[in-house]
Amino acid sequence: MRMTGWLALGLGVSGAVLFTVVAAGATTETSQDAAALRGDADRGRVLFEAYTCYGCHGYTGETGFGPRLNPPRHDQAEFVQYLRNPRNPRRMPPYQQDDASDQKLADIFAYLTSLPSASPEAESIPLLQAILTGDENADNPPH
Amino acid sequence: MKKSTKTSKNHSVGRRHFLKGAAAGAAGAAMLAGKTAGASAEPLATRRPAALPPTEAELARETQAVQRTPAVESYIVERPASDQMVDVFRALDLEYCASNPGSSFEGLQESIVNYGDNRMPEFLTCLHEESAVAMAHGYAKIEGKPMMALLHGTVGLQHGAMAIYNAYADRVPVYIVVGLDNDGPVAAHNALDMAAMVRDFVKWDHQPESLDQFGQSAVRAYTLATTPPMAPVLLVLDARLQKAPLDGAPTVPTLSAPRFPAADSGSVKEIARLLVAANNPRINAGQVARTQEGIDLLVELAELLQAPVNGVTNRLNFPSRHPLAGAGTGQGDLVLNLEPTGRGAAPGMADGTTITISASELLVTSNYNVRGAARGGDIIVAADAQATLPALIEEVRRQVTDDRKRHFEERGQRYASTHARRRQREVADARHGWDATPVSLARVAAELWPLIKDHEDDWSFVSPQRFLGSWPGKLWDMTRPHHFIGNHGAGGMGYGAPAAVGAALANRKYGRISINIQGDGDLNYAPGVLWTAAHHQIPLLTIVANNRAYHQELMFMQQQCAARNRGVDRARIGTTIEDPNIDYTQMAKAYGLYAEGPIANPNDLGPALRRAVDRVKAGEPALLDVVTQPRG
Ligand code: HEC
Ligand SMILES: Cc1ncc(C[n+]2csc(CCOP(=O)(O)OP(=O)(O)O)c2C)c(N)n1
Ligand SMILES: [Mg+2]
Repeated sequence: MRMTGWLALGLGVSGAVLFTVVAAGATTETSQDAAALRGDADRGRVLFEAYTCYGCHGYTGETGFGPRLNPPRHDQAEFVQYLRNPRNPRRMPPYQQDDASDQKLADIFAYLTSLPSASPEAESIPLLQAILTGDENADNPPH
Repeated sequence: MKKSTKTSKNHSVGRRHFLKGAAAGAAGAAMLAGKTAGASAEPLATRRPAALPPTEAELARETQAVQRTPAVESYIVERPASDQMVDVFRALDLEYCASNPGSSFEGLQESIVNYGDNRMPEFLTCLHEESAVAMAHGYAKIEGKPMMALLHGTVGLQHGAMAIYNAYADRVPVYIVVGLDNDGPVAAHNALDMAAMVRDFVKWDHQPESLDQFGQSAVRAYTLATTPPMAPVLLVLDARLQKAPLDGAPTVPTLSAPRFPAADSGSVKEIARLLVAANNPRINAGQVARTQEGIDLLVELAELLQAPVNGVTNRLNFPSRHPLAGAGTGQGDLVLNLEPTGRGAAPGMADGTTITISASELLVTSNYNVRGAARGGDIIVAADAQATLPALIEEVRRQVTDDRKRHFEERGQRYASTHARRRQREVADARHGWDATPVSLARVAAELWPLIKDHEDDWSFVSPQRFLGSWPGKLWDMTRPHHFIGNHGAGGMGYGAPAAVGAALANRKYGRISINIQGDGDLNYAPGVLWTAAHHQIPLLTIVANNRAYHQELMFMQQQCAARNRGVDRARIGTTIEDPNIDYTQMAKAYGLYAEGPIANPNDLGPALRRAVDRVKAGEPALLDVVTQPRG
């Protein structure tokens, strides 16, 4: 049992979220059912960490080695389908039903859908605007 | 008494004689850094501590009435051979000697601090031999000349081995000296062949048997280390030799400035012809530019051909915001690899002509394949790329016709607009996760930039950036060799912190502000180097990019779990650095640094960075513990 600090912080949720051991096991759900499942964002947050989705997609799903997941580009059924059979399994690990049931993936999907954006428009970030425009013309001191 | 006076007189004759070669040595060293010989070539004889007034102890000894007993007389060696060694190191312009103490070189250490007055070389106290070697690695990447790492026999060299391997793979010269004391207190520190354990990854090693041989080997080691392909070299110095009384005049070696092997004129002509004929060539620069001159030459070649040069990869070869920086556009039909370091082909290259100019071809080891698999290529030239550029530029200039020039200009415009679009996109992409907690790595780089870019003595980014999403290279205007000094060499973790301290030491005399964005895993191999930075007052801003993990391995482990399909929730076992979280602020404070953190809220970052940068500008090392997103 341990704390998942950053996920809580990333969402602005106070208090610790308990890490639950995810039970592996066969499931009877099929991908066809996936669209109908109702995901639980709280459980999804725990799984997002346990399955280390954050590790390649960032705690808010907006940074890292993998593509941005926030906001989601897929609907729930496509999402589940993709995780079972990602285009490039050497980069994006496949998550099989034995461990990651459709319900669990639906939970992760619910979590991703609930995430607010932490990415303001570039135009509203003065530091980036300065890099794009301003400092190009700034005096460069003699080096 | 009489005897020692006589010895010292003889010795000083020998030494003066030797030092005639010294000015040449200093000049050679300076050349590597692209400077004229200047100050380092000043007459070394005037800087010799032997010319200093006698110390109180020496005076007392001269005037003491009590005769020494024979036992004491034979114990005291007032002019040991290691004094001569110090003179030789000084003649080679070895400014510093990074070391962790060991009795196998106590003779030499005593000469450095007493006879040499702890100047040139100055003894830097390191808390781990890996730190000593990696500091020398980082120093050489800034200064363009080697620094000495002085290691204890057997065990110290074992500790230093990985760092030697990194420098070897990075083609960086390090001047390693190892003590050997087969009469010493610990039998296990003996060795019949001390260098054997690292011989696969030093360019040359030698164990001189006499002082004459030492002089020659010392100079030869320097020359070999600094002639491309540059690499670490190793001298094993027997304690008996260090401690023997200096007698007679040591033989005089001369150091001639290293020559850089350039491609032959036939190859240059052929390569120029292919370059001029190509319709969509790419220049793939690995570690071509050693100096500003190297960058300028590459710019000249690229502009002449209007050919794109891959951007900031492994140390700065080409200005990051130059319109030709990047992969160009369309399908390439020729790639010119200049000292390539990576494995893959240049982007956008399906097939076409491949030309490689690489000094690494001159230094291959059977055991370790440090430069990856040999690349296929239509032309492979074993030569130094920077040294070849002037002739290649001249030849291209000669062969270009007006017709080709028009074509070059057209494609140059295409590349420039591709570059501009890519840059717009890359900078705009820094917005992703901008407000996230913990802090995004793009934000760390973006917040830092305005604080360093106008520093009057310039700035220097002294850490690898691959794990940082390369955000410094995307956001900062990198134009000079010290703006980015590249990667680990052999990917050996534990390089980052000590190499940054060594680089910052070299930057100190130029007043540059040195920035190290530091992996938490990397820092923990040998964090004691923070103390070395504090002790020797080396200004360096260390920002711990604290993702509380060996994150690279965490990702690999998750992929492996997926590949086995028997549990996908245990990849964090053995790959995270949590529970308890390491308090880097306390750690840095314990080592004597100014420190703040942990900072996880992006809004706290800017003000903390400003405070830390101010400390560094005032000449101190400072550390910020910034809790970050796992990857950029
Ligand atoms: C080891 C790194 C890694 C981990 C762990 C990982 N991903 Fe990915 N993910 C990637 C990469 C890389 C891609 C892009 C793959 C490609 O290039 O085809 C990707 C793609 C995706 C996509 C498709 C996005 C798109 O827009 O095309 C989704 C959805 C996704 N991942 C969700 C997840 C979820 C949910 C988890 C955790 C259960 C997860 N990933 C864990 C690396 C990872
Ligand atoms: C000496 C050594 N041990 C282990 C490794 C394997 N390794 C590669 S990357 C890495 C993680 C380094 O952690 P950190 O510096 O915190 O970087 P992160 O991946 O977390 O960004 C490790 C352990 C290595 N390359 N070198
Ligand atoms: Mg880490």
